[in-house]
Amino acid sequence: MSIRLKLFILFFTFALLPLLSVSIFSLFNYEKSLERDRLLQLQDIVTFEKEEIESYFNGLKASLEMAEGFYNIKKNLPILSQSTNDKNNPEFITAKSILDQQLQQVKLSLKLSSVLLLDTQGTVVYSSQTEDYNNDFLGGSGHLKTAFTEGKKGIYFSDIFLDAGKKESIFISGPAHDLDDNFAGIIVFKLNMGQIYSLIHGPTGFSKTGEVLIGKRVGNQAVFLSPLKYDSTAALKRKVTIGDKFAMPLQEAVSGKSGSGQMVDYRGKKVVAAWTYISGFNWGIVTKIDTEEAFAEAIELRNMEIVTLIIVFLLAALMSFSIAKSIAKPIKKLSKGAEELGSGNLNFRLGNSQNDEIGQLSRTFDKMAQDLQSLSAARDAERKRLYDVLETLPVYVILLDNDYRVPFANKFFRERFGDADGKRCYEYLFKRSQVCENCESYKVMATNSTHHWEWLGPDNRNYDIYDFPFSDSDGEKMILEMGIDITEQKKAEEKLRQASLYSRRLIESSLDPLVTISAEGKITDVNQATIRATGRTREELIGTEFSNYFTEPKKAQEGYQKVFSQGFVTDYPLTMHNKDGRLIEVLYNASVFKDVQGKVMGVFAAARDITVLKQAENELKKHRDNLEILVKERTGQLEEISARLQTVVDNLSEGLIVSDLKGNLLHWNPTAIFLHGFTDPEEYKRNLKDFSAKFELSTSKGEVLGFDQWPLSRILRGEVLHELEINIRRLDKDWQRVFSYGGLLAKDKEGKPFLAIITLNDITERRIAEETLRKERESLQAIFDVVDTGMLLVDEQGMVKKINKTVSLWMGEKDFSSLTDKLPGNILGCIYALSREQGCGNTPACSSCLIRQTFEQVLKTGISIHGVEIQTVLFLNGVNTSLWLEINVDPVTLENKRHVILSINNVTLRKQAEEILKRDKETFEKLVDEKSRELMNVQLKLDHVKRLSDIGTLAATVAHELRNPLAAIKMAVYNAQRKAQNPILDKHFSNIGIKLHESENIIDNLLFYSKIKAPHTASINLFNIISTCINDAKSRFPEYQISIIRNDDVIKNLLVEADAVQMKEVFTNLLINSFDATGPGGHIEIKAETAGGIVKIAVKDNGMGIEKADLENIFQPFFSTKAKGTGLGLTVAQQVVKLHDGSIYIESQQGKGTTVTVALPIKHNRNA
Amino acid sequence: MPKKILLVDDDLQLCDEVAEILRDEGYLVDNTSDENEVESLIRNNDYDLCLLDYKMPRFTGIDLLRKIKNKNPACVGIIVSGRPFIEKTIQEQNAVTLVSGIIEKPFEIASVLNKIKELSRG
Repeated sequence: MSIRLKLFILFFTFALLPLLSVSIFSLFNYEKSLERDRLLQLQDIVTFEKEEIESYFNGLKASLEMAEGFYNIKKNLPILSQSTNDKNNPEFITAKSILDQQLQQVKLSLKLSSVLLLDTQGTVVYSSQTEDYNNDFLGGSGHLKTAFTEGKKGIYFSDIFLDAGKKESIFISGPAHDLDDNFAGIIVFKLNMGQIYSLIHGPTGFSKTGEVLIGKRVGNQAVFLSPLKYDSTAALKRKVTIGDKFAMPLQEAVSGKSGSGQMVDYRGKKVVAAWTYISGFNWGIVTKIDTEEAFAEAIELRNMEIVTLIIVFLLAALMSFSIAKSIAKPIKKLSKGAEELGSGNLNFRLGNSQNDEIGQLSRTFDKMAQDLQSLSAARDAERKRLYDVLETLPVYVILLDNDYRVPFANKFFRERFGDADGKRCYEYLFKRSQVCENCESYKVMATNSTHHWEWLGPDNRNYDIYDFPFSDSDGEKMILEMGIDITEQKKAEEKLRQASLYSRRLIESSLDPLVTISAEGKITDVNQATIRATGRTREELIGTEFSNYFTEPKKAQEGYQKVFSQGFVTDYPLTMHNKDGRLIEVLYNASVFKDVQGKVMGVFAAARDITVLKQAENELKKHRDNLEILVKERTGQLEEISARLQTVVDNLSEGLIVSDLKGNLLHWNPTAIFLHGFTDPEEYKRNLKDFSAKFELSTSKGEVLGFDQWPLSRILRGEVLHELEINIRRLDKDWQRVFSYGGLLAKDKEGKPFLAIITLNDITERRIAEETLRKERESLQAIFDVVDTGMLLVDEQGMVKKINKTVSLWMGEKDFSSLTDKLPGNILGCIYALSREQGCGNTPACSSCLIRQTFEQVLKTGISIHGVEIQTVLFLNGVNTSLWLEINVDPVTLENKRHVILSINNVTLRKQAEEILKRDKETFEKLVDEKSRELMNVQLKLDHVKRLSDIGTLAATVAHELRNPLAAIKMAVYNAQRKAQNPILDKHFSNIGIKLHESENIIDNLLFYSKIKAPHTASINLFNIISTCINDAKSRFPEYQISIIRNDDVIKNLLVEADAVQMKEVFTNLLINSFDATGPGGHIEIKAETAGGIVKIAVKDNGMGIEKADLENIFQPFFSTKAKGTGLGLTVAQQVVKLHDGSIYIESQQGKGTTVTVALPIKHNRNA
Repeated sequence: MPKKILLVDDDLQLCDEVAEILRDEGYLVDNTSDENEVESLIRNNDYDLCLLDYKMPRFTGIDLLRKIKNKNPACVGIIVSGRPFIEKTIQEQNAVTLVSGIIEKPFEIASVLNKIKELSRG
């Protein structure tokens, strides 16, 4: 049953049916009530009509009764009766006219058709209608007679009759009386039934078919008394028999019944009627409406309902149709869609946009179709991928069917063997007509299990074949075959086999016993050598316990266990024993061997016969023991030497530092430590790098050296340093020195360096001295050059070592250097010297050369010769010039060699002017003398300074070292003196003591002098220092009774910026000098004054004084007028004072006393 | 109770002579120039006063003084030195509290004896 029908049924059942039943029910009810109402209505009407008729007739009756009482009638009726035959009788006319007057009125007012008067015979005597006169008063209608007859009795209503005019009429008669109330006749009202008809025709005007009718029963018939709606002539004519099936209501009515109901009327139509009986007339009166009309509403309603129902029905049908459609169509479409999808058309879409469940279902369907499509696509892709995989596999994959055909072959197969083209495998692969005998593929079909075999393809390659039973999608049994090309593999296998064979031969040919041992320690394989070594056969060996063949089986077991645990063992010593009793010492080298997975399979062991080896070892041991003894001896010796070396190193006056190749400073000798001013090993036992932050090294020119240019860095790079002068200064304190570095890399026997050795000397003082020297030399040179005299320094061999500028200017040579190491004659331009190739000294004239003679004389005697005047010719400025020369030759010792200084003056002019200047000869000579002396002094100074620089360092060291022994001697003397308790010896001890004092002084001065450096200025109180010095001096000369006078209160509270230690030294020296000079009983005065920022302190004594000549040299180092003394005291004092930017001077008179004054600036001038 | 003095100087003769002098003055003196002996002397004895040469081959007087003071803080420490600026050196070595007195070389016997008397009184 379709949805449509279902829906329809649904609608019908749930909509239509109730509606239907309800409407039928209501309709029925309505009809019923309507009928009731109608009937009641009709009843009312018929009753009303009845009453109306009755009341009308009653009215008429009343009127008639009234008329009966009319005077006129009473009066005139008898008249008329009498004159009836004479209508022209004036009485008649008058009576009629009177009666007319009234009765006409009555007739009009009662709407009678006529009023009649009948006499006592019943003859009509009067009529209101004239025509009636003419008609002779109706003829004798029976009805009038009846009316008369009955009227005599009382008011009589006649039956309805048709009058002469064929009109329904009715007589109403009643007796009339005369004035004597005698019966006089009958009054008759002739009523046209139309009145009645209008009564009954009125009320049913509301309906179309409704009418009221009257009828009378006559016999067994009902006669219609009124004209009918549908039969206007029915009155009195139409009749119906009682019992007929129509005009039922009338039948009932005329039968005297009252009622209502639905009946069939005179037409035979269904009517709703109400009837009743008017008993006064024996009339039945019926009100009826056609049922049709009566229930027209109901019928209308019914019709409407029917129509509605039909409409609803139709609507329902339509609705159900359309809804069904909206459901059925999509569902149909859905089913179509499913069909489409089922048939493979996944593109189908319903495209339903309804918002209801169907629509949702459709959309869901669409989505499903979509999903299926993509799923299908995905599956297709996967299938394709799978296919691609198959295609790209490096092995062949084919499907074989029952019939030896190849429905599927992948690319590999196709490439190698071509397309099957539907041919059978043996056909197209091998061009055979029958199945290959060796083909094993089809075994699969028989056994239904996988099969694996090797196949030689038509391309002569070996394939490893795997066959699988395979069921096709439609259940057909097939073979899935996979073939792997193993040709190469086979070749490789063959190679392997060959290799294996080869290695086997190798193993067998090895002289070393080789074995393989299983995890349980059993021999699994041996070679010939093992067989020989053990003296057993292969069969005897294999499967037996490895350790059985050794003297120490346990050790052997441990050995191979070790291999298992460690993976290998090398040189494991064991002793094999041969069956014949021989023992063979061996070393085993063994390792595990694993399978491809890495699982240990066993141990492979090789033995090495070491019997001979062992013997050699023993020999070696013996030698080694001997060697050790020797080494011990040697080591002891070495240690001794090393210790001695250490002592030497430590006692060097040079600083020595040993460093490793990385710059770690391993050893410093004491001197090195001392020179750097270190006290703590922490400071210096470090890497060189650590010093780069503390020290700054620079060249003598003042260029700061980077770390890689430091002496050690250079040495480490392989340089050998020698006397490398470096200025070194500490960045964190005020300390700077000049060191002379030397060093090199110490190399071992192969020449590989292993240590760096650095030597250093403190040449600060030397530098200062050298600087002083240089300055002096410079000034000397300046002096040398400035003098007008040409000067030549000539050595013993007669070679000129040095000339001064004057000489070179004479020669016209600006370049000095070319004029040294030459012979004097050559330099001077002696023409004799120049004329001969050999030059000066080798010409005939040379023997008589006065210059030569003079300087040779001086060299020989060492005595100066001055004032030799020579006349000679020299080649000067390109010209032979004759001139007078005056020559002074002085001997001088330089570097322990004898030299002379040749001073030459061109005295030509002088000679020429000598006459004029003869008297100034003395002056000249003196000048020359002075000059020579000056020169000598300068030379001496040079000597001194040079000596100083050498001596200085030596002095410092010596002095320092001497201190200790001196102290010891002092102590010893003290003790000796005390112990001796011998007055005779006291003097000697005293002398020793004095000398010790002296020695100390010397040392002090020496040390001090060599260490003079920049003053450490502080604000010091010189007064106190002087006091200390006085005390020290006093204690040095305890036996001297010398009075000290202090006149230096000015400086009691004065603070001077100076170095306290140095100042102490100064004043100590001065005081000691004074002490020495004054001797016992003398006095020394200390005077002081201040002026202009300078403080002057004088030490005055009244001692022996100093010779004037000596005063000049008093400040010279090592100059002393005393037999004892270093000669450094005043030098030191002067040096110190100079360093303080002060000055020192000495005044003395021999025999009277000496005053030494020291002037110092109070504030140290920092810019100085 | 005579005071016990430890005298250490690397100059053997000097050391002996000074020790003799001190003994004559009534002190009990142990003297040595050997550093090994020094160690054992310190270990086995407590001294009231020690006279230590500053500069010795293997160690300094300060080092030695530290060892002594470690064992016996009551020992009076005197440093003997021929160096200039020995005070500064002592300062630099953070040993000012350890050193009760300084004797400069060369010294006068009298001043040494005085100093010892002074310092050992305390």
